[in-house]
This record gives sequence, structure tokens and C-alpha cells, in this order.
Amino acid sequence: MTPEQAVQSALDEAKRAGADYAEARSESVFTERVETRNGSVERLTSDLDSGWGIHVMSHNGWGFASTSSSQPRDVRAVVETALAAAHAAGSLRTSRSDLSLMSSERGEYSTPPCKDPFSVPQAERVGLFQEVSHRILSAGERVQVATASLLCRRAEKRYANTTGAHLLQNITYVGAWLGAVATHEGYSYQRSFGDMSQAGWEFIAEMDLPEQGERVGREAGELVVAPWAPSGSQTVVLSSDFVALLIHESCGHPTELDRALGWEAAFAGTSFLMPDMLGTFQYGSPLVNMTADSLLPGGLGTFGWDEEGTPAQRTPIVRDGIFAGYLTSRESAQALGQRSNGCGRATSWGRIPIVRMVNLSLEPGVGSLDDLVGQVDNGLYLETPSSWSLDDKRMNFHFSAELCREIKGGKLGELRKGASFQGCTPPFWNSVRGIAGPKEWHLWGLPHCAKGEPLQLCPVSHGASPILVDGLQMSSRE
Amino acid sequence: MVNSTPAEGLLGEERAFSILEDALRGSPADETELVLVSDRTGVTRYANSEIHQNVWQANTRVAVRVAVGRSAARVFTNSLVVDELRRAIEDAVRLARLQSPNPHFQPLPSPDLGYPMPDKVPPSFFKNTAELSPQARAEAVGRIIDAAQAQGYRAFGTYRASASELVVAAGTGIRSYAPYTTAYLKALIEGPEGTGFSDAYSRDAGALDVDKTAAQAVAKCRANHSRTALASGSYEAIFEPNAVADMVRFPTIWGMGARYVLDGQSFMSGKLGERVAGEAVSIWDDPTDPRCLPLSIDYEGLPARRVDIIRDGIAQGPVYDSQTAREVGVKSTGHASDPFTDFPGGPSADHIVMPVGTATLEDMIANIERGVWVTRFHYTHCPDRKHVIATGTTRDGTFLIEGGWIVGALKNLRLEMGVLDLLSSLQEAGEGKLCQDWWAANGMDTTNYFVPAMRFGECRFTGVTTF
Repeated sequence: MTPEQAVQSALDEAKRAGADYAEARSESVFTERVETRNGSVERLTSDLDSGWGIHVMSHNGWGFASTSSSQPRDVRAVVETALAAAHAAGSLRTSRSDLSLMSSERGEYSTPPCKDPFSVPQAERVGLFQEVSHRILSAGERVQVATASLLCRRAEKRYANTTGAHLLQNITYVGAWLGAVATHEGYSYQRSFGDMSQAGWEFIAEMDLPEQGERVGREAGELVVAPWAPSGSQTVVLSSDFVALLIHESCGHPTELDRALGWEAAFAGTSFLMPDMLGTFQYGSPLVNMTADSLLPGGLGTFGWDEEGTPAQRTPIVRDGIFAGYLTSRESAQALGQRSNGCGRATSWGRIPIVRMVNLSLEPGVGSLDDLVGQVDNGLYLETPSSWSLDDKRMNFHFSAELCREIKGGKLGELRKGASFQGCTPPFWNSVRGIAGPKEWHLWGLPHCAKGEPLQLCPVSHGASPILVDGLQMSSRE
Repeated sequence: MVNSTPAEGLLGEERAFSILEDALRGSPADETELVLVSDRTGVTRYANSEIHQNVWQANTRVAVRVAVGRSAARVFTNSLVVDELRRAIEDAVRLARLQSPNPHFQPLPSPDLGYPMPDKVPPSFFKNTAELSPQARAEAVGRIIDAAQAQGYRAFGTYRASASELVVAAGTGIRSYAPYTTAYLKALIEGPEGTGFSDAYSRDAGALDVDKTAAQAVAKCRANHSRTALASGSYEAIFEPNAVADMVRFPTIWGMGARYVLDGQSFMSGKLGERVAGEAVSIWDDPTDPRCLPLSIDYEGLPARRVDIIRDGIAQGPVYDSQTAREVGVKSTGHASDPFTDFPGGPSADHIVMPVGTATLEDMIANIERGVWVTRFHYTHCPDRKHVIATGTTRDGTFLIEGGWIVGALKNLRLEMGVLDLLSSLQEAGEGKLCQDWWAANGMDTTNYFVPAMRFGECRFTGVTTF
């Protein structure tokens, strides 16, 4: 049975069984990985994951069932399982879903033309990543572990529903990650670099991995013997990759509407940003503008339609520092009397769409990183997050950085290790007094945003330039 | 294959081996290993006192690992068609042949690399769990919602039940089959001023006490009001078992597997036989302990056995899989990790046990002059793996103790300190509970813990939330 046959048969069976509404999706995801360690191949893998699922509304409940089976005889059993789940849910549900909002979109989307990463001979890919891990290892005598890994992925997605929608999407991702562990006198320290994009091999080529590997290895070796970072209130410049994670954790998650509605209370948590704060709450300084954009080229959250059939679009989330919008799905948007802004995403054929980030970015300001550093007489520069922890409303946070440099007299200075800081989301973003310009802006791909039960690891992207922040409360591990 | 009910969907030992042995036959590799994991999982999620998500998934995955000369490769598929499995083996061989010989190569595991299977292993499969229907999950959720609504509160949570089978067949002679079930129920109750939480976890859904779980969460919610802020500093503290698991997670995942020890990244690296914690600290991993979620084999099909990690504060050693065992020249302890994960990190200790005590929660409270009672943590992390520093904020019930009595609820606190320092300040322990850390409870990890509530002499809180 082809994926198209599975999807159509399931919809036909759901209608025959009396479902009020049904939508079916199939996915086939092919992934190849190269993982090298200290110059040798650690894991060389190829993975084909295929299946389909059906989401039904019946007796006022939603139910979903899915299978990796491609046997025609299993269609009826899976649809019956979805209906049984819907009936059970309906017995404990008083909310109503507006079935007039279901998608009737039809079309196709593909990653824009690129150099197909699967067309690059595997031996060439393996050779490159062995060389990169060699470069990391040889960059410093204290480096004990050097890792370099590559991911190439192609997802073929099919969506159809009982209101006439029919969508095909074909998306290609590539990503590379480097890591070094250096040891000295019984202590060990990590340094890393990585990025991922909806793109082809040209993205990997442009990462200049051998040179990045040398830098990562050299910095690991220097950091493990560096003095500890200081504590106390500091003026800090945060790198673009660090700001990307700050956007993710302290803006992306609290603006997911399902969290504000309590749907994730028992796992991911809720949000300090409640609907009555929309349009008035001073989330950040007037310099801060954030936009969710699933049309952005190269983003891991870029597509034609989300997994509910809602078209890709742009949504202001923070405008001139004011909380301006949520990330929404079809059901959550109804709670505010809105239409979905296309953030109903599912990470596989076996999962239902829930509210997810797409590409959520901080819009660039002016000037360069050097301009920001030049404004600091005595402070710190932090690069690459190494740990992150936030409370269940995304208010209090704690982050650590892999790399820290002193800033003295407007110039970058000595390395420090183990820099950590703690703060609260609105005061932090309100203390932003500089954002570097478009030349410093980079769209970072984060492959593993975790949410949902069963768990869904969703790829998302965040664009950011370096920022300058006052009064960050650092803690020392000295 | 999917049948009319989830319980009927498992392959069974005979059919699983038949498929894998057919695929193994004629493999062109020097060595071939097939690991099959079949899952049938139903999850009911409820929020604002109604079911909002109700899902079921059937998936069967096969990991093919081959060795050709001194090179290895893996191919994954979720097809059970024998011809496709054979094609996967051929693909893996092609990948292996792409590589130059690996100087760190170790052969695939053979039965003699593991310890003997114990005569008796605790049951890991319960038919009632495998057959738990959406209606049965909804009925349990309905009782929790009723308990919440009786107090004017709202209920949130999850009821998950799964039936799985782990099957390993290899050309080296390994033939291992282990079916297992898992049931997890959690209840978060929200009142006008705060929340309360309780959960229950077992291989046997029949062992989950739905009404007790609801009552505990409701009681905690009732007490969690009029919260005040506590100044940062060091305090005595009582951690419930879930909170203990949230802390023990970090020495477990970053320090108890042989790969991290060998690479110099573990707190135990270079310290085997030396003191790494106070005398009160003992931690072991035991996949055969019925108080954990027992599983008799690992993902290489080798018998899983108890391993003492820390005894009376002295580092004993890590857990091993076949690769690390061969590097060191010992037997595998049966702790090979899930090959399907995106985050391979070598062998993993997934069944953590710590000694229980006889103290009741009331005893512990009475023994504290001024301290904090922690229900659990949210989104913990480890800023320093080598020093095993943990950080995270409390949630769903944090209380101030003064003069041996609970005197009020506290706004949530941020902990930041070394886990081994925290454990070393252990004063007394209570009864044990099977639980998960925050990450594992949310599906991001597989570690389970049988740990008691603990009273610590020194717990460092470095910040406070606004609620």
C-alpha cells in the first residue's frame, strides 16, 4: 500500500465509520548520519522511518492512531482505534471544536533547489568528518575527545482531510556539529559548534568545518586552564548563537498559546504571558522586535503548510518591546477567537500537531559586534550556551556559557570558563540596550526542541544578532 | 502488524525470531546484529479537567549493525518485510566498506561477553497493562478530575500505557527476547492560588493507585497557597523521591557509564576506589530489581545485572556495554543503550537504586529547625558535568519548615549546587518510591529510580521565582 493509498483509505474508512471530521498524514523520512570520534568513524547510519496516522473528531472528542504498517488490512483497525480514543476523550470533554475552520488547502511545497546532500558520495562525507575530528584533536594537546557529526535528512509528507485539503511537502535538512573535550589536572571542559538548515550540501560547505574544528579544539584546550568567570552584576555582550537560545527559551516557549491555556501544564509548563497582556505588556526594551516567520528561507520551521494544513506566514510576537502575539494552532487560536497562524506542527507520522515554534527571530539593530563591545568599559562577552534551565512559567532562568571573555576598555580580553547567569525574562529583555545589525544576524538551526506527550523533538530556527545587556547577575563556580 | 486491539499487536518471541533469523541468513557481513523494538503506546492527556489529546501509536523498528573487517555501520528501518531487512543489511555492509579500518574497532558482542542470565528474573510484562483501553484510561482520568472538582480545583496530567518487546538476534549466537509493559499516571491539580502534584509508575497498570494519586495531588494543592519568598542561602531540606531523582539524574547520565569514565569526563574518572561522596551515599544500578522497572537484557541482548556505582561514598565503577567492556578487558554488565536514540553516549545506568530508610515525612519535618520541603523540580540542567553541578526550580509545592512544623508555602526556588555535596549531607531517608526525573517523566530519557525521600543538612538555593 502506498502512502497515498493509506491516507485515502483511512479517510474513507473514517467517513464510513461516522467520524465528524478526519485528517490523515503519512511521512517517510530518510536520514543519513556520519559520526566521527578522534579521527575514526564512531557511527555511520542510514535510517528510513515511514508510517501514517489518522486524527478523527467523533462524539465531541479527538482521537489519533498511527502505525508503521503498510498492510491494507490494518487500515480499519487503526481507524477503529482512533475512533475509540475519540469516544473516550469525548466522554470527558465539554469544549467544542469549530469544524468550519478545517483546511481545504491544496498544493505542493519543496525545499528550494539546492545541491542534494545525498548526491555527495558517502565516502566524501565520511572523509570530511574524519578530517574535521582530526583537526579538533590536533588543535591542542589537552583535547581528549574530538567529535564531528553530519546529518542529512529528507522528509516526504502527505496530508489530506475530509474537507478537501490535499498537500504534499518534500523537505531537505542538513546539519553539522563539532565537539571537543579537553582535560587538565582531573577537570574536563567542553567546547562545541553546530548549525542546521533546510538546505543542501552548500550549507555544509559554507560552514568551513575544518577551520571551525581547529577553533573549537584550540578554545577547549585554552578554556580548561582558564580562570573561572567572575560573579556579580555585569554588563554583558551575548553572541548571536547565545541569543538564539535565549529567544527560544524565554520568548518562544512562553508565547506558545497552548502553554498559556494550560494544555502543557503537567509537562512543559505554562506561561507568564497571559492573553490579557497582549498589546500592552512591556516584554522588552523598545529595541526588541521578534517575529515568527515560517516563510524564511533556510529555516527548520519553514514549510508550505503546517501539519493542520494552515499556510506558512509571518506573525509579530514582540513589537517595539510590547508583547504582540502568540504562536497558535487551529484549536488553541479558537480559544482567543483567532485563526491559526500556522504553528500546529507534528514531528512524525506517529504524532499529532501541537503548538510549536517555527522560525522565531530577533530583528537586527545597527552596527557590529565590535561596536557593542566598544560600548563596554568593564564587562563580559559570552558565547555558546552550555546549560539552560527555566521555571515552569518561563520567568526565572539560569544559563551557562561555554566561552567567556573579559571586556576591558571596549576590547575583548582574556578567556574565562564556567560563566553562568540567572535572571527573569522581562527584566532581562528590558535591559537590552544594543542589538547588532544585519551583517551580524544569523539564522541558527536547533534540531531538538522537546515538547508533547508522547515526546516530539521539533526542529526550529532562530535568527539573531549579538546583543548588549546591562546588569546581568553572574554566578561563579570558583 | 496491527490487530483490532493494541494488546494483540505484539509479534511474540517465535514470530520475532523467525523474521530476524530469515533476514540474518546469508548476510554478507562478517558479523551481523539485529535489534528489534516493537511498541504499542496509548497516551491520554487531560488539561482544565477535560481530555484534550488521546493518541495511540504502533511502531516496530529494527536496527541493523554489521561489522566488515575492522569497520562497522548501522542501518535503521521500520519495515518487517524480510526482503527489506535483507536490503538493510546489504546497505549496512556497503556503508561499512566505505570506511578505512577503524583502529578503535571492537567486534560485535557474543554471548560469552556477558554474565549468565540469573535463574529468576522479575516479571516485566503485564497483560492488563498491554490491554489497557482508551476507555479504561479515561475512567481513571475521570476519577482524578472528580477529586479535583470536588474541591473546586482543575486537573491536568497524563495516563500513558505501553506494551513493547525487545528482540536481539546476532550471527554471534545471541538470541534474546524481553517483553515489557509500562504504565505512568500523573496528576497536577490547580487551585486558585497554587498547584499540587503526584504520580505513579509501574510495569503493572493494576498497581497504580489512581485515587491515592489524586488525593495526594489535591492535598498538596490545598496546602500550596499564600506563598512567600525565601531569601537565597543554604537551608536544611526534605526532598520527596521525585526531587531526589531530579538530582541523581546528573551523576547518573554524565558519570556512571563507562564511556564518560574512560574519556575523563566522569566524576569517577581516575577515582575508582576513592572517596567521591560522604559515607552516607550509596548508589547502584539494578535492572533486575522488581522495585525498579525490571528488564532482563540490554540492547545488545546481553543479561543486565546489578552494578554498584558508589558504596559508602567510595567510587566502585561504571556500567559497561560490549564496546567499553572490550576496551577495558571486562565482561559487559548488560547496559548497552538504545541504538535508536539521537543521543548515543555509550552504556547507560537506567535502573538507579539508593538505600531506603525508616523515617516518615513527619519524622523528617520534626527534625528540622528551619528548612525547605521540595516536592519536585522543573527543567533541571547540569552547568558543570565534571563537578556534577545541578540547577533547577522547584514546582507544585515548596514549603517552609520552622521548629519542626510546616509553617507555610514558599514561592518556587532555584537550586544550584553540586549533587554529590547535596547527597553527602544526607541526614535520614524514608521509604522508597519508583519514579523518574523530570526529563524521563516527559519521555526525554529512560532512567528510572527507586529512591527514598531524603532529609539533607545543606541545600543551596540561589534564587526565587515570582510565583
